[in-house]
Amino acid sequence: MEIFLSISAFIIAAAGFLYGTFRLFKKGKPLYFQILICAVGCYAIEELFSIITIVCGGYEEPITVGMLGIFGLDLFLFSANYGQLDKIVDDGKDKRAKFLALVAPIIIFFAQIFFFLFGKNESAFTRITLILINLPSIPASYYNLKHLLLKNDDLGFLKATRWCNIMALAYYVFSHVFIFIYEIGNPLAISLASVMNVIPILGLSIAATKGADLWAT
Amino acid sequence: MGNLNLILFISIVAPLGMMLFVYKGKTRTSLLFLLVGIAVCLFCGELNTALYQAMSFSRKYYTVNIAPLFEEFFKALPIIVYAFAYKPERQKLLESSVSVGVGFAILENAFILSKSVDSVSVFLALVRGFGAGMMHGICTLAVGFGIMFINTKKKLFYSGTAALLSVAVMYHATYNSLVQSPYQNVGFLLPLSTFVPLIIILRKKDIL
Repeated sequence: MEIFLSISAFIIAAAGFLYGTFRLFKKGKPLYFQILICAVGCYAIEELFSIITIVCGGYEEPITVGMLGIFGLDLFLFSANYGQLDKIVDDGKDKRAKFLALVAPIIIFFAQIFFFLFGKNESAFTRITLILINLPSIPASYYNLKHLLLKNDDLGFLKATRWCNIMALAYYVFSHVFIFIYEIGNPLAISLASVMNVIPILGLSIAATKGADLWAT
Repeated sequence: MGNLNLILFISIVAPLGMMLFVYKGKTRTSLLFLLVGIAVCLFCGELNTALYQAMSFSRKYYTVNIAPLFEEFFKALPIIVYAFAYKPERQKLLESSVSVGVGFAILENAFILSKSVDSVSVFLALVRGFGAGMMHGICTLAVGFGIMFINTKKKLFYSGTAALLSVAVMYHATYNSLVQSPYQNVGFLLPLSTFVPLIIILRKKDIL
């Protein structure tokens, strides 16, 4: 069952990555959206590694290097919003957006602490590694929410990136819901949650291509 | 017998090192990074031996999930130092990146093939030579690509390079996982199926 879920998730994420690559990796397309497609690619690689792990017989530890895909995804999302977009759209005047955006990283931070303290009987090595892997999502979520809360700029960059930020935040929510459902242990719920996890990833790819078209106008 | 890794290292580096006094310019830089890659492989070999003995993981788990982390990090380090200190042009940086990876693969292949004397063959040498060479080359090229932004887009450089390093680690781990499984042939084809298209695309886009 697990391999079918991983294959499904990989196919969906890979389709999003290939679609985004075909549409956006051309001359003149904004780097911001290309970085988002790289984030989608990281998720696809993570699912591919899960498939290979299962096919090759699995390992005794639940932590595998494939989880770096999630680390890479969060870093690319952070890179896009902080590195590329923030200096263009934030002139420093909107203090309200800056303050309210702290809600996202605070929620993620406390969710991570909750899982660390009350999670299943995994080893300390597993729990600490999971926290480290999800660490970049904390600053990344701040910039995603901030760019949603900022008033639209004259050049339309925030409008073009709105759905990208919504999909990124949806991914953070779904991934933490997945961890919570995993902790409960209901197999059917875990299956559904793992497929739901990939929907915002596909949405991110579509939002990036639509956003790039809007950016150009 | 002595330390085989060190013996192989000396026998490969000594003649190539002499050429550093003969070559000039870009050729010498590429050769230097090739030698750096060989040195990184020696270091990582010793480090992996020590860490594997200290940890309680199985050999399979270690070679797939732990070794690639350290190897990719130490392969990236000389390129990062070079980029920060010398701010080289794009072509030079990418060539140096690939050279580190290929140098790493040279010593790794020599060591692995010399340890498997009973089962080694020309076919295996071809497969490991091209497979591991391309795999290590792609990994360091990916990191070099991220490091390209070190001067122009500093905010992108840190997170982008770390993200690309993560991708390189997973690619390396995928290769290691497949070559130790019954699907060895898929593992050996993986670098070929990514290196060739990647180089073609980069050349077409005039990046390399």
